[in-house]
Amino acid sequence: MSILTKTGLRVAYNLRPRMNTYISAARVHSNLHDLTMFRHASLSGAKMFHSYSMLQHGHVHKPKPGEELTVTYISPDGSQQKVEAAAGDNLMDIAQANGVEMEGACGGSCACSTCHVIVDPAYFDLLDEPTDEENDMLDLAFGLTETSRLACQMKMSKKIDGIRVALPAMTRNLQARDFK
Amino acid sequence: MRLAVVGSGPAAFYTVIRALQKVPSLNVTIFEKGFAPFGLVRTGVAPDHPEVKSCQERFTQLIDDNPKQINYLGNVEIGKDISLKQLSDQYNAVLIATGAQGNRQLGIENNTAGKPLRGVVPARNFVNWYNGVHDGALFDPSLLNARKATIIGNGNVALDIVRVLLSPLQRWKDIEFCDLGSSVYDGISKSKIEHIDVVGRRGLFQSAFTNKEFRELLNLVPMLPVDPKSELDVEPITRIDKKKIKLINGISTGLFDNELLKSNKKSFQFKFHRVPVKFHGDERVTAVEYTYNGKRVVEETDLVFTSIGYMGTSAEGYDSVGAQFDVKTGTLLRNPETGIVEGTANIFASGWAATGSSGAIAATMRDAFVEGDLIADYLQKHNDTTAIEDNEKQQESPINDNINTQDAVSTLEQGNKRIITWNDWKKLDHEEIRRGEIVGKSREKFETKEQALEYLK
Repeated sequence: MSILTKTGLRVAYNLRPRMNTYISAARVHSNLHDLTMFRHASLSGAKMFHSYSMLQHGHVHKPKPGEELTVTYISPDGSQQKVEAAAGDNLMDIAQANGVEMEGACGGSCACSTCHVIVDPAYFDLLDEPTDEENDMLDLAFGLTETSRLACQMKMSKKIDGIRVALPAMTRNLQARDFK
Repeated sequence: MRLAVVGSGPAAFYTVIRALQKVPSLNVTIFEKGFAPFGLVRTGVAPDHPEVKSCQERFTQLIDDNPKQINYLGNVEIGKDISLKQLSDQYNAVLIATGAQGNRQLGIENNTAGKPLRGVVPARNFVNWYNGVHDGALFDPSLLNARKATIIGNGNVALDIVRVLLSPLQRWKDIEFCDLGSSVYDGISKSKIEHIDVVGRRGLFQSAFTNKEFRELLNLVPMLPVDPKSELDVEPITRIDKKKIKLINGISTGLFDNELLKSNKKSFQFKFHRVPVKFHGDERVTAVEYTYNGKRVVEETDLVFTSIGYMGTSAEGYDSVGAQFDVKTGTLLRNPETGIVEGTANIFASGWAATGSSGAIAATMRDAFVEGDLIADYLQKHNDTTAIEDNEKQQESPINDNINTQDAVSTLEQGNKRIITWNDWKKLDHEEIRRGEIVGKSREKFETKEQALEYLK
């Protein structure tokens, strides 16, 4: 088991099992040719809840045949989702286009830290250095690690093909009064 | 299953987003006191930070995409128009996401005669003003005739105020999607303020501003040396503090070399370890008296912003539902296991109403997601409450044909209150954007509820 998976599992203890993860990705923008999303949409049943705005976030390209790169997203519960991606797209847009539960409150402009991910150390050094602006936002990320990055600032490339990133668990800061 | 939500800021929306992911059949009614939604995203985030406001699009899309499930009712005040008790009785669960509505007090705001001094302004009043919230006229822009201003407190709100008041005016033309109001630009361009002291009770590493805001400010406004200088001798340990020092050292090593900054004749300065004990002045403030290094010092100023934090206030109706409110922290007390507000049966809380006023949107989102999970757990456990289900079937809503109404809402609708529905808001929104286009901005906001209601007539 990789370090990364262990991290995912360790932080998962305070999360309830996730259901209907993919229901939320049912809104498909016309320029998005992602068949897996259609499949998820048809599986989700009559009550459809649209969570992701593809108009806003779905700026992903279809990889050319033979040039498909892959990204693996590891959820806080340890489950993994391997998706295909095109070079040049960022890891936040790729996640959202594939129904991975990742928020990007600022729309991918490096102005919040909601798309914070932990990068598998095996890939971390292959990435371009974070900018000062990204580092400033990482200051505010919850559960910052040595290999933390913002997904919206990492562009897919051949160099990092196969990259694995873990989404940190959403937990609540313990407050002093919780110990009373 | 029905969820009533009080407030429509990021805490409200992110909680709803999460609860809906877990309970896709959930019906949600959002009650907003003001004429516009989105809370501090609209009224707190500075006009030159449009990227932080991007989440508004996500929130808008949520309601646009789910019109049958989410009913938005603006200009409805819980505690006046509908009681919290009614919501608690008529909905399966209630979420309080009202933020922190009050100000933490220094306790020295009044002069010796016990009257408030002119020129001592809670930061919130000024933030509201520059964000186009002009209801009640809580900030008088003629106060900007001051030469020197002092901000007590050194969080991001303090840095926002410095940036808004001391940035080269060109900034407001440079920022794409800026939504600074025309009347506000007018007020700022007439400001005489040349220097601002940013005063902290403790030291540099105890100050709450973030490096992102600091870096941005250092690129816009010249900073005078930190006072006292010895503050820079303290060894930084954390990543954040190391970067703070690096940024300060960068001033002399050319890290912030740009024409806009060079042309800016204004300045700001951090002053640390000063505990304000008294404001001087008869009618208008003339100086602040501090204890500093065990001594009393008096420093002159023409305008003071108190920026020591927002604070939640106990709201109308908390007692009637038994909600436990901590007066000291200004927060609703939640059960850490269930997320339910202590003392209540079905009331939840998220965001600053529960956590207190600290943290940016990411922190609020995290809190909201946890609360959304807990609400979903609660609803799934209690989905056999037949009484409410029966009530649901009774009648159709006059507000939105697709959503069955609750008694409280239908009573309200039959009264004189002008509810601002989601469609009304969309009209206001489009008009704001249209007016903004004329002047080359993302929007020109309605400044008062009266203006908004007048437009909707």
